[in-house]
Amino acid sequence: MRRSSLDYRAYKSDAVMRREMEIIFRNKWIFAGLACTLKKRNAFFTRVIGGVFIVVTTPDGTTIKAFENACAHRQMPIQTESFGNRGLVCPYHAWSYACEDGRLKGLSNPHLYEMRVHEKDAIGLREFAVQVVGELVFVNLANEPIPFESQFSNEFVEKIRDASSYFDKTYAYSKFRAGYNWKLNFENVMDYNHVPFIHSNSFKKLLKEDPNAQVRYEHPVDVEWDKSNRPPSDVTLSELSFTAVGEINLKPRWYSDLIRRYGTSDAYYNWFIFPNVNFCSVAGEHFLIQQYMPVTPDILEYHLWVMPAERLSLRTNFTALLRGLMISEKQIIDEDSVFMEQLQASLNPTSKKALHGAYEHMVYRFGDWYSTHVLNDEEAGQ
Amino acid sequence: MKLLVIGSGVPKIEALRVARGLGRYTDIVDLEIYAADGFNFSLPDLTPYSEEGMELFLAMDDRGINMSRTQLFSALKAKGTKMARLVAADVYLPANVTVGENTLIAEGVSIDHGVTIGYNSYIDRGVILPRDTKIGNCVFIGRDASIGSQSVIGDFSSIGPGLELANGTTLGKYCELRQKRTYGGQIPEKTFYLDLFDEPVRIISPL
Repeated sequence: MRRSSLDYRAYKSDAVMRREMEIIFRNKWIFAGLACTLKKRNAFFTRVIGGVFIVVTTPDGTTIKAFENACAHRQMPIQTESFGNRGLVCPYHAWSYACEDGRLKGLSNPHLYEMRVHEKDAIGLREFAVQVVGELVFVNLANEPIPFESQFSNEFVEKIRDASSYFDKTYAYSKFRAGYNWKLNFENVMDYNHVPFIHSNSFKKLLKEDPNAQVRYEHPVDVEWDKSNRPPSDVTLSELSFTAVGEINLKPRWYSDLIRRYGTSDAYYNWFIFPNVNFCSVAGEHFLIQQYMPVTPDILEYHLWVMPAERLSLRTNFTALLRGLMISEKQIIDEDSVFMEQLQASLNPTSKKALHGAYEHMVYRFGDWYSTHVLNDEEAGQ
Repeated sequence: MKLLVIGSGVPKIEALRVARGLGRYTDIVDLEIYAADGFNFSLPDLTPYSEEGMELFLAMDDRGINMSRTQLFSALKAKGTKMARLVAADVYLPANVTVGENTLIAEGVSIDHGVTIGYNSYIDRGVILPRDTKIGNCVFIGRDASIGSQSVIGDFSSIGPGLELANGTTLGKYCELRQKRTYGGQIPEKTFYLDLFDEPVRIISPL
């Protein structure tokens, strides 16, 4: 058994959260949404990442661009909806921007501003780096983003690219808040041993009764617990995104023959995407993407995308299925939230660090990386 | 006249009750249908029940959200089946109101001039439909819901009991309103206001 590197401050401190916003959410590659949303000119979706409002859009249905969703004039959000199909025109005073590069294109009542040509030429939206992996769109808010491959191994990228190629192009999405730290959620989804206890009437029914059935990690480095006496600073960023496959026992469902299945029907696939995404598939029949964005140390915003595997016939209507999947996934999340909120509320300066065992080796590694890169800072210690 | 009511659950019970209250059917047959998975219903052999001039009413749960109801309706229409309209005896229908086939309007529903109600819809007890309201096909409106005048309810949409829609609300297709609040404006298609979620669930197709 090993003590976690994370003490209560990692879950409760405003100073630590400011630090993680800077070190993680405004510096690393963060999942932002799905490329299939952006197949027509001016289609867009909006997000808030690291406290920054962003809009992800396309000038041509192919190229994907990300900009700060803030008009240069008064910082008003240019797109106010979560999804849509609309040019970059601020609703406040109608300043408009080019979707290709974010430069200011025009403004209404220009005589009121007495804007010089050189001033106009210098005005534009802040653009962010974008990386698209299959259907998954990642954004990096840093001025000089780290190479994508330093955060995700090529092997892992190919796996999520392949899995996302099985998505149906119609998906369900919603978001909601929960009262606990976002890291508790990431630790919870990596901890498969909670399922029989917290999800005894829901998710557990999918699992095989066979006591030998277990989760199989597909990890690029040696993660044997007994061989892992590495110093915390030795944990690399790329090893924190990984694949795990569990065995499940699922009867064919009414839509099993209507989709192009990913993988095999007896597997529950998890792709943990650093820092805050659990991308998974139940029997390759449907996929879900759960993302936990920090709002305060005690509150996270939970984003949930659900889609079936690609339908074989375009005539198949999956509206009822998507609605049902969203409800069932939310019910499972709510089962977790009850416990996570109790855990969050109980953490205090006298709380001991968590004690981890072998099956939690990735939770432990996440804590090591976080401790080295976020907590190891004087400000965070104050 | 003979009426064959096929379906399942509460909608079938309600349809039988409304039909019996009308007094125009001499023979009402209750035929339950099942689906092992709760989704894929199939039509039973109706030959033993058929007779000249018979009407049929299809009453199934899950309203417009479940496509089975629509698929069975289409299959029955393809066979040339004469579908009933069940409007409770105490409901007054002004002359310029239209009601589609296989639609049920329960007791106490208030319907004003210029209202149109599509086929295969279900308007539960006490619902208020003011002037010029347009209700699409395969729509469910729960008990005592109040729809604002000149509102438009898209096909396959479902409105929970007791909910209020402001005047001029436009509800897209395949929407579901369950959260206790007043709705208004334009609600995009495939938007689900569910109790489990703070914000609506949206179904997004390539925009």
